[in-house]
Amino acid sequence: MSERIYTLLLRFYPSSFRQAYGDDALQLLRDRARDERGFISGLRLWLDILSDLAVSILRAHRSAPAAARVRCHDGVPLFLSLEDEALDPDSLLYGATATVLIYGVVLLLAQHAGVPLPIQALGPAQLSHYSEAATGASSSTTAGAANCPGEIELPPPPAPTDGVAPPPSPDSDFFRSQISTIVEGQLGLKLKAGTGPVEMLVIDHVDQASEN
Amino acid sequence: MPKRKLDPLPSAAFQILLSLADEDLHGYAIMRQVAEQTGGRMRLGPGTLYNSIQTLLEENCIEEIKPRETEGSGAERRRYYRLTSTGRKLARAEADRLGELLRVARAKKIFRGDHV
Repeated sequence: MSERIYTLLLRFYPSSFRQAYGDDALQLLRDRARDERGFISGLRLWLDILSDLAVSILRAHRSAPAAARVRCHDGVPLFLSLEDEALDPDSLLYGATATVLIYGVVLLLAQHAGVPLPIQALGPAQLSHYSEAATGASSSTTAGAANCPGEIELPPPPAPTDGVAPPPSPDSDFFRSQISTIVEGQLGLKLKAGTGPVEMLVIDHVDQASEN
Repeated sequence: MPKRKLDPLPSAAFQILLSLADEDLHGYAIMRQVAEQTGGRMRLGPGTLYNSIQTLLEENCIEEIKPRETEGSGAERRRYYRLTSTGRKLARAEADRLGELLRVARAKKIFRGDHV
């Protein structure tokens, strides 16, 4: 079992190192496991192995021959790679899976910690707004008004129940809920209930300007 | 000018050179010898050991010799390493440097009685 685990760990080393010393390293592990029996000795052996792995892997990659790390095609170096042998298709699959998992975990943690993300999920109101804006060109000819991205669209009033549509009052619950939806959903602002003096400009009538 | 890999000489490489000063050894025997000569403070893991051996081989400080006739065959056959004259010179130079360091330390009287 220990040998199998260590064989897997050896894959972190450059292949040139594995080919040259992989068997010897495995033999050294066998020798130590044979001579250092018992739980404490076994634990110390694996602590040694893992700490040695952490220290020596980078050194092994750094000292791997540079010529072996550059793949050339007609004299033109293609790319530098830490590995000097062809990639196993399984490695690509593992790499892709690991990338997706790592990215997902990072996003989840960032979202959980409240870190602003470079991507933002659109709410239903925003999705509806943009989808209608996208189809606005075709519908504007029949609706008579173009949907621009900056334009706020009022939802239609509730359908009449008795065939006659009464004009909704500005104080009605319908207007309040729709204004709340628009301000909070489309503009992203927060409404807060309160009372106080409000300055208003009332235009009671408009005259057409005279020619003079 | 390219930097030499053994300048300064890493501690693990120096210990390997010292372990091979008396006799030819294989990897595991080198590890045990190093542990013995350092009082158990340095236990070379496989990665560090064979990295250092590789570097010492490239710099001609040690050489690989044919397996001993008395060794078993197949998987039990081990590779033995021998100190070269270059390696011996390097070990001597490092020992001289450490000796000089020791002389300075003594002159500064930073040792306790046991080491003086």
